[in-house]
Amino acid sequence: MIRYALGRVLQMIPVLFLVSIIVFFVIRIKGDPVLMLVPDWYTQEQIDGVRKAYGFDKPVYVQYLQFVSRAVRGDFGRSFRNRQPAWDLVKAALPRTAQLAFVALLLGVVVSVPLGIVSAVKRNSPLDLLVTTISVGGRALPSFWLGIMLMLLFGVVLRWLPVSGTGAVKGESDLKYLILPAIALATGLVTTLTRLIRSSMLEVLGAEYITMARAKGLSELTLLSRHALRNALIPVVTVLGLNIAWLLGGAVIIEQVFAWPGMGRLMVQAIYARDNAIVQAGLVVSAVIIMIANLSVDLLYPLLDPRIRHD
Amino acid sequence: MTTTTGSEMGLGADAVLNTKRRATPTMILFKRWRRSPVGIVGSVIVLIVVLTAVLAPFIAPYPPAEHHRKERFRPPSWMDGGMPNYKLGTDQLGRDILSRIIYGSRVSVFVGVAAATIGGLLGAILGLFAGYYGGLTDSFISRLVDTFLSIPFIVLVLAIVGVLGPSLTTIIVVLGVTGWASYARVVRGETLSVRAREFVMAARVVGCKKGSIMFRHVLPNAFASIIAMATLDVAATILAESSLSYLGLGVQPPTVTWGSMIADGREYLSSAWWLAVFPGLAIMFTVLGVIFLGDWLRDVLDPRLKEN
Repeated sequence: MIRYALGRVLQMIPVLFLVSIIVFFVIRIKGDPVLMLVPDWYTQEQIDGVRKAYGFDKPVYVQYLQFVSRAVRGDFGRSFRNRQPAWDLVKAALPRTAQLAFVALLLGVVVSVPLGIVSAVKRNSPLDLLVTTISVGGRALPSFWLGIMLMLLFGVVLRWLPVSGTGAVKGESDLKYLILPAIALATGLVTTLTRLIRSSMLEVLGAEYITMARAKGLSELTLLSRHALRNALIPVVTVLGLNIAWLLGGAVIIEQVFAWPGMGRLMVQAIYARDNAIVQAGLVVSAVIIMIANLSVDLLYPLLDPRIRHD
Repeated sequence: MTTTTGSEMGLGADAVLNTKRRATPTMILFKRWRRSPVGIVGSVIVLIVVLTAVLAPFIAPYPPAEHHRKERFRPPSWMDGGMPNYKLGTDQLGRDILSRIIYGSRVSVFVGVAAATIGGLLGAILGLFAGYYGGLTDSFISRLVDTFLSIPFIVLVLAIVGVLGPSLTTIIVVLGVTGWASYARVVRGETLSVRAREFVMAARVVGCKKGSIMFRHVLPNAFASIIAMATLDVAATILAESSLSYLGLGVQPPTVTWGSMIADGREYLSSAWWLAVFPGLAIMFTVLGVIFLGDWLRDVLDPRLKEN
């Protein structure tokens, strides 16, 4: 088990290396990165000054090493728009995204687990058909459009909820502002999870050990909760972990739609403004989060499914 | 009246009378298509969308960029204040929404198919190499796959498009190149499983070159998975392209895209909801069709080719 864990951690290293290369080169794909950092009215002298100050005059591999050594210490340079360290800005925005993602995850699980289970247990019933239809339809929904439709329904037509921003402006709690974006983000999750739980439950319910437990006289409820559920939920944990990447990506757009001040919105604004320091910091942070999530899933899986325990 | 079979008539008549025409793969495919509601609905929708994209100049009532300054913000024709010639209403510049939706299909279809093709080719080739050669090639490519899957797709695409500047070619290439990883993973798996099968070993014993084995034996078997994945990838790409357009990083005006229509519509949500609603419905309709088609293809191609 320890060897397996170590193995997975070691595998992360080349991936981290490749990620750092991609992030490093992303801003150097086209043109002179210095020209993109400075305002239009700078003289050649000033531009050269910036070039030296940021170390852009050195050869590429030296720049790369500098980038990595600084990145490891959390130094991604400063945002040229407000002169603050990129890392600080990302650090401040991250909890906001985490809030959104957490609530979305919670909503997603709370809605899809019962739906998936009931759908499987009462297979082919009207409820099952409804749930399946919604899951299929949900796959085709653009998340940002769903967000806007939710805004339309709850913000404009019904006027129940605010349409954008956070509670900070009026000093209210964030909950009202969090609900719509969280629902928009959760919907994609619900469609995937519900279908997964349903098929997983169906598979488990058809298994031999369930038939045997029934023959032993176990009550349907005990059957469901103690035997079927635990096994059916195993692939769900995996999928949840692997969907963190998707969740972060989705949050980027939803945050932009609802003006939620999280990391996603920060990055989009930074991309508009060519604020490369923030873009790089954000990319690295997202990649690290996803890698940690994947690692956790890999380590958690053998614990949940004794059949694949590694020595 | 009893029927007489060919064999009862003697003298090998059954060889002539009882043999049906050999069922060709195309016929089998068509029969299965006829029986599958999902397949039928999916292909019909995709056909409608593709035809709309191709025939746009002929079926759209107005040119997409034509302003009608006196008829701005007209609601859809069935509502109060709507006009019969602007079926889905007009936007803030008086442009006909229906025409814009028709023209918008061109970008979605083109980008979707082109990017999925690029991603599919790239991923399939890399996956093939990784699965067949194994060893260092495999390790390197697999690490590369993990890397690309570690960075949220949208974020990477946004960053690259942000740097390169949005344009049709850029978007297609970026969406295609960043999407290769899932193909590679699947094709690698297929290659590994095919590699171990007898006919491949037989081919090697006989002395076929590695390259020809890969392309002539492994590839056709992986083909089913690739096609199925590609269709679903087209769906994902269409959604991604619309997100890019919404953020203003997609194909730029005056080209019409569904995503940018929705972005426009967001500003006028409280007064002119039809600007934002209809393009979104168009996206949903298209993506749904593609997903249905992809699901059906996956079901049909998979076991059939394995039997071969």
